[in-house]
Amino acid sequence: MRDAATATISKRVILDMDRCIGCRSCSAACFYSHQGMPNITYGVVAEGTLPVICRQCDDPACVEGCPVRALRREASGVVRRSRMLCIGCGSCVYACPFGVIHPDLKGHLAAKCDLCEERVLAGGVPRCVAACTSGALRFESVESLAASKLLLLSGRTAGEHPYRRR
Amino acid sequence: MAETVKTTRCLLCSLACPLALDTSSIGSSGEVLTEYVADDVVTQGRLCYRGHYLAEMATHPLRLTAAALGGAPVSLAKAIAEIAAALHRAGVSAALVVDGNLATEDIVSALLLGKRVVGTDLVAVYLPATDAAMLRGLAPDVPLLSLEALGRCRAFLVVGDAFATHPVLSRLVLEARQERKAPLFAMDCLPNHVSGFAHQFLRVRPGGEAAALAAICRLAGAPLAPESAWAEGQSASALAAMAGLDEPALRPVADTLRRSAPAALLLAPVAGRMANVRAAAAATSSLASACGGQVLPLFNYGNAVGAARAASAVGARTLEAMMDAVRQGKVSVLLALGLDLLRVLPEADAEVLRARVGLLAVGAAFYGRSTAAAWAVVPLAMWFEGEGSIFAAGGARLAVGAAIPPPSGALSARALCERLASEMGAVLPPAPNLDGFNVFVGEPTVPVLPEVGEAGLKLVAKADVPDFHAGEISRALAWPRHLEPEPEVCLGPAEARAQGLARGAKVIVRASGREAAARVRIASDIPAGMATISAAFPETRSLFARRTLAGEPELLPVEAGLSQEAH
Repeated sequence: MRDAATATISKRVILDMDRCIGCRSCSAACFYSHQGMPNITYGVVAEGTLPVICRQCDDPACVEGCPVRALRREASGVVRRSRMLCIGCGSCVYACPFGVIHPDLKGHLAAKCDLCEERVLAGGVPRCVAACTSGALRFESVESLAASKLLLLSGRTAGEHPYRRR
Repeated sequence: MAETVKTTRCLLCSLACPLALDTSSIGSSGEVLTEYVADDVVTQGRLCYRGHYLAEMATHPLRLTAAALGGAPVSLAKAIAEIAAALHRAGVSAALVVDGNLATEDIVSALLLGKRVVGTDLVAVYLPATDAAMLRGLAPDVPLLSLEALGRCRAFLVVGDAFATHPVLSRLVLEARQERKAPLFAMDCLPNHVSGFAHQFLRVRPGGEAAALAAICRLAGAPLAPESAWAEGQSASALAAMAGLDEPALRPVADTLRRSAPAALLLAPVAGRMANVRAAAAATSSLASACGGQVLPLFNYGNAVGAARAASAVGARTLEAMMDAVRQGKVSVLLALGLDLLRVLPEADAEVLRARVGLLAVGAAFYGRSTAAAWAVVPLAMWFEGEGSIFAAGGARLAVGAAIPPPSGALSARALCERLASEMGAVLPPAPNLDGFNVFVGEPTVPVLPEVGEAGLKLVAKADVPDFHAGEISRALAWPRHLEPEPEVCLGPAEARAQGLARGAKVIVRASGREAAARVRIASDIPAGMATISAAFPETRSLFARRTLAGEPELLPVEAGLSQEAH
């Protein structure tokens, strides 16, 4: 395992829209490994229901919006929420421009994706990616996608025709 | 892998995906965590939502952990002794039903206990109606497709909503489609989770799958198997018209499948008349022969093939035949193993069983309707709590490991049968060899094409993901509870306007003298006069006719009414 204090995670969870069948297995995988935290939200796109997963922004609005500094960007690049500091005010829910933070609180805490940091630093992939039944969720660096035939839309969504789903 | 992480398989569908369960925190927090078996060549560790909540079933609040007699807790030994004595006394008037989703060894042990030790002919294996219908429809010599070979196929025809019912196979199909440009055809009576990815969607009229498959077979220039005798003498265009399609739309499918050997024919459980499921299975068998393709039947039960082989090898009766004996008062003691028999039977048959059977004994993993009504109850282990094997949909034998210890006192069905036999002074005979043969019956069936009337709103059942098909057990788990699954009734824009309903409106759906609350969803591809609703919820399933003996009802389109819920 790499040293969590210094290691940087350059890869992100990227959704291939040409593959997602909307089965929500990613949600179940995340839910059961994060003490029932609903870290993955869903958006309805045309007739499909697609997962919306935290982008781990370089300049995260949720961190700016948190009044108690419960959210912070780690050296690894992961935006983490401290369970001890979070007061469940929901400011991050409103601050996030991508709607990835679930509005329902769980035990007075806001749910926040941690990119399965321990698994990733140990050489694995996030649970949502490991579970993804159709291979729609990929754990890749944005740069590596350039080698594939896929087009990238707004940094985290890919597909042959991302504007025209399938 | 750590000592606490053990592999097993998920039997919540016939893909039987491998998974590992981590029990390191069991006992402290009671949690069992699912891990992935990344080196599996088929799944590469991928696992659908069912595989994730499987672990929670081990600690489900409805798990049975103690034996009971007459509603009072007793020791396991006492319960076993009483059940053995009752079965021994009953002899030929005893009956035994075993669930088809246990390990093959458990099913075989139960059947042998009934046939050879108790001496009754009334032994049966329960399979969901769609599984039984597919097994009866497939030709005995149908070439079965293994999951290992699925990804290498050069063309795909998917009948029904395979991605909804068996999500894990979607990767193999979509990879072939995306990376190797393999043609993908989808066939269903409504747009589904496969149709959006398909190169061509064959939208048949309800129940028209068998006719469309027979038409493709004709166009491929191949004879139909005896199981599809109903289509003899009919031209391809007549069969296509029967399916609600034009013959030219089917010609490229026939040409592509014939050219693209090996082609994969995926047959998913479709809701509706079981005769149509059977006929579609038979026509799929014919088409496989015609185009050099292979069939992957997608069952609800992980061990449907093993259950069918065990039933055939031991000479089990059908559940229908057993219920006939119950109606005639010929059953004095009935032992049900691994299933909630009173829940899967239609209400009228459950009443008959309660009234006519003297003693009902139940071995089950969960508390349910049958355990509440039973004279004797014994807790059973689930398949991932004991060693055993299953037969995958492609026919291969797979080991199912014991990943978790069973709750205190729970026995595997095999261990229970051995102890019952021992109480009767006997030993279970050795299991027959089940390897290497297909037991599919191949019954000729005439498809039934329902006429959609002019007036009224027709309510049609549809597959859904997530599919909480197990009803009360799966809906009580943490993730489904978090999702708060709510039925959605889907209407076309014109119908919604006519009914004065907007997207998201809460309505009461009434059909067959029952009602269910649902939320309105507008879907552009649903014609006026039709509404669809998920059949994944017990209350929505009850809106449809329930005619078969096997759990899942025949979900016929029904006349329905919608009314907006009062605020």
